Amino acid sequence: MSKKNGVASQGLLLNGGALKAALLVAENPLLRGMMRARFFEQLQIDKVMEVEMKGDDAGVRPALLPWLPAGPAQGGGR
Amino acid sequence: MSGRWCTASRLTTAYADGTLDPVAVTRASLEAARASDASLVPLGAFVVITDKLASEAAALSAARWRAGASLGPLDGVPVAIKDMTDLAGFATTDGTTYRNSPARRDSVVVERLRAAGAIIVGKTSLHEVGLGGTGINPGHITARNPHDRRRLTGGSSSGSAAAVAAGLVPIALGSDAGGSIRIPAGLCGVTGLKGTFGRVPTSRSATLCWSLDHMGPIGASVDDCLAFFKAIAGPDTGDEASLNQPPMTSEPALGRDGLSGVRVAWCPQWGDEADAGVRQSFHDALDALRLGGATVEEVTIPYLEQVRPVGYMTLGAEAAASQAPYLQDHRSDYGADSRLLLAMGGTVTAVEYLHAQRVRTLIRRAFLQVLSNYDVFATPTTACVAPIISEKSLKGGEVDSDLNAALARYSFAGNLTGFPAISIPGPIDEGEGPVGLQLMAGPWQEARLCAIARRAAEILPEPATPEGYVDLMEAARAQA
Repeated sequence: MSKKNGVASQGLLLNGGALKAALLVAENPLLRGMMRARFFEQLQIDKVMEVEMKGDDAGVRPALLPWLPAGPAQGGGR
Repeated sequence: MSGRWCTASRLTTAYADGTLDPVAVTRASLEAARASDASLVPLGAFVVITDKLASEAAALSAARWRAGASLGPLDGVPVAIKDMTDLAGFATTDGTTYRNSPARRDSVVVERLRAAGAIIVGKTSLHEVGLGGTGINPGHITARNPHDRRRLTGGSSSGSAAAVAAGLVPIALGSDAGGSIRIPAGLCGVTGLKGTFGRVPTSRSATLCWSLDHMGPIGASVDDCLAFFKAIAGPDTGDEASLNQPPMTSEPALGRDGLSGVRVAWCPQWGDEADAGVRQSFHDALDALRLGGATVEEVTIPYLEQVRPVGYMTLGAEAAASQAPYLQDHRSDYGADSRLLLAMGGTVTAVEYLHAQRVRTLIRRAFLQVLSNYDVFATPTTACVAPIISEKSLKGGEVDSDLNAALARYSFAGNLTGFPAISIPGPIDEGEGPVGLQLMAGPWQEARLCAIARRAAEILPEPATPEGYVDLMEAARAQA
């Protein structure tokens, strides 16, 4: 593993003919999985999927956009 | 030897005392914009120059200044807008070759800029649909770095940063889904501000990623960026994410001078993962902040390793979804690099996306914890300086994972958390070009962030203007 631009390099530099070839694979439904595996390995997606949401983190919600507007200020408790 | 930066505040001071007028300055800006593409290696900052619109607006502004009825700090100031937001009568290409229909009305940010008296002189180039941090756009326009035209500007707001760094305008609009304001600002030696998510409405602007997109200024100074930001911020019913924001706070009182009382956090496990020159610049900047009176302390932040992959999973999936309607009819109009990234983004499953968003919650909590104890969190803006553009990439595009990782290493956290962040010019990496210093603050703290950034900019060495920089004040006076 080399070091480039301050980043541990796992090497995915595609331009010219290599980029065109990679695109053919990526847009072919039968071959796409190969390219996905290469991309996901390089992006270290496993580091995300390995985060276990157990114990105190079991109830962690996805950081999705708020889907309701803020309600008016209410007095009192429940 | 570099000259002085021509800022919006210097221009409006000259308008107020009657030594300059917006018509002459706008004419100088338009001429400089045209001239920037006339050389052997065109700058490539502009997609279109809006002569008539700008000249008419400048005449109105000049009349207001003469009547003592100026609209404020942007009145009569030439600005450029990234070509991803609507300007009535002009296409919003979003960096593509096929979106050529003129917009019927202005976007909300453009409406607000025009209401503030800003003079729109043109629309700026960008990485195709904003999907990339380099600014390389073979099918459309690739902007060049004014400090060295062999080098990248960074992206995706490549033309906006190039236009400001070259002096064609003092401020330009950018947008930022993973660092696209801060990265080119850092690599071009100017200032870039991304506010809190939702602070600036994205209504009638091109969408790349619903949960990551921000809009904000790239400018010649912190003051210019803040004035521009205040003009475009605030709720709009067309963007639900903008509706629940608190009002902009007035600027907090810092100590009489320097950064006394300001608490700065930095993280060695992160800040040191950069090229040697960037690391040196970053540590020089931290030393300067310390000497300026700030308390600078090391912190550890959990989940930093996850920032990049969560960022790319989120960006990839959302970009694939936002571009899907266009890809149906225009797949072959996209560059090979965009198509490849969109194809890969489309393979992120719903389960993976949702898991990434849960980890994103943990990342947000971790940064909030740090920023509840410190005023700002400091990093380099990018992990590298602007690289030389390869001819092969310029002709056919590129996917360079290492370069993209280095460019967005420190900026993605601002998009995943939604917290405001600013890039100011850091100490220069001799012989290599500009390096940015990024400061991030807690949510809705833009005013405090800018107050600290202004003081930091006063302490740090003043960035050099590039060779060939156009001082609009001098150019306007030379015409008179």
